[in-house]
Amino acid sequence: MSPSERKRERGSRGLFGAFLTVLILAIVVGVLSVLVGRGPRSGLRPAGEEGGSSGRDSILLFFVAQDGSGLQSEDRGLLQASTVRETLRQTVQELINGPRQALLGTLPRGTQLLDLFLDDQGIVFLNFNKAISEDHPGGVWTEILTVSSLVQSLTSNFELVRGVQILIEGRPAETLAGHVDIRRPLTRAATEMGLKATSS
Amino acid sequence: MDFSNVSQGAGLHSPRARSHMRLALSRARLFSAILVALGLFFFSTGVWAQAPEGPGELRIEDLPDARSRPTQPVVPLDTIVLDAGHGGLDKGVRGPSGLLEKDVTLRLAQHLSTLLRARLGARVIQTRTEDVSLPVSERTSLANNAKAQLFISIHLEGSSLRDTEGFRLYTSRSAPSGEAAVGGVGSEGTNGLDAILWDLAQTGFSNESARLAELMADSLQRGVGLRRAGIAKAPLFILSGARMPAVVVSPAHLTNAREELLLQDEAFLQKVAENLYEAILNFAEGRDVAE
Repeated sequence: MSPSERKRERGSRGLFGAFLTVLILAIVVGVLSVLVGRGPRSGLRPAGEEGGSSGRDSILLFFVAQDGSGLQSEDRGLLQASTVRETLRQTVQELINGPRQALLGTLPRGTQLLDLFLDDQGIVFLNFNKAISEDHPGGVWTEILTVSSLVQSLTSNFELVRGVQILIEGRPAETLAGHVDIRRPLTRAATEMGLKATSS
Repeated sequence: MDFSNVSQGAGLHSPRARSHMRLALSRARLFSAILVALGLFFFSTGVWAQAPEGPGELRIEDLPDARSRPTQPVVPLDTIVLDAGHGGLDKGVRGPSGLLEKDVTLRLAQHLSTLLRARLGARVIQTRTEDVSLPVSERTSLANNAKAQLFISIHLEGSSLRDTEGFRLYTSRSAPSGEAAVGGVGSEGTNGLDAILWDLAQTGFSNESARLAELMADSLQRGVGLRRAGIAKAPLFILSGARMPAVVVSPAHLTNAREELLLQDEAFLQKVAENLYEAILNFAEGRDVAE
């Protein structure tokens, strides 16, 4: 074998090695990403790392207008969360914390989000403590606004969220305060009556 | 017949004929003068405009109220179910001075029940007649089992805004077919199917329910002078399973001090009941709200 032939052979081996290294790395990254995407609960998975946000650099939270006639949105900067699941959790927590503008809160004081998960059908399960029901002030319209603010805030900002199922202490409930049917997931359309007509 | 003599006018020129003609002319003038005098008299006194006409000649403006003409099918109301919201441990909204929603809804249901029995002759079933807890689904089932033609659930509004006032009315928001497919914890197996069928029960009555709600809103606004806070279609559990026209009526805000004071007054509740009765009567007789 001439020196030039040896040089060509070494070059082709180097190229093959580099290609093999890149291929192995790609397989490892792919397997890892699949493993990371799997959730701890059987039948349910938390949101993945991408694909959930609406593409906006802010989210809309829905609170009660000052005249009580319906919900108005409040613009918030993008929440600092690494996953969609965490963003959803922070969105609900911001609703619990209440508005920063001249609007009124929709969730009773003492309400805590115990858990949140997103299933394969795009249903967000919100598991609250009993305060969301027991400390609710009541009234048909007020209850509509409570439920509507949760559903609208989650479905308006995250395309993959098709519906919201409210649970109390891990169990499904008929209503929060005797009026709104929360036995099954509620969609954005099902709760739009809570929006104020002039909502931005 | 031969007209030759008449055309020649021989008879008309006779003295007797001329005398007859003069007499006839003078009678005609007299008759005309009397008619003109009578016309002037009725016109000047306005009697003409107000004079009643025959029974078959009623004009639209003579009707007591043009909006009361039936435009919808008549709905026979043999059985009506009245639901006094909340009860027992479930107190509902609490007013500033401590008045409870569960007590007001019961009193109002009793006022309305008395009117419907006495005036409409209907069989009225109340979901509760005392201060007891009753699951929401049992209230609707009671109406379904009684094969009622109308289901009215009475509630009150509450708000953290103390000056919010007025009445609200609700009908069921039927879920479109696409929404029914959205899953959830209760969506699998028989329970899920039952829930969907329960939800669809009210679908066929949405137009009638909406008409009743409009009639009630009109009646409460005109008759009681309450502020119309709104009518909404909403996913309310109490309405979704009802197999008859069904509405939730919230006549006032208990958290508003002025309206709480009104709700303590039996005369006010009687007035609200009278106007709800009026709306139910209009509904039964196929009347609509005037545009």
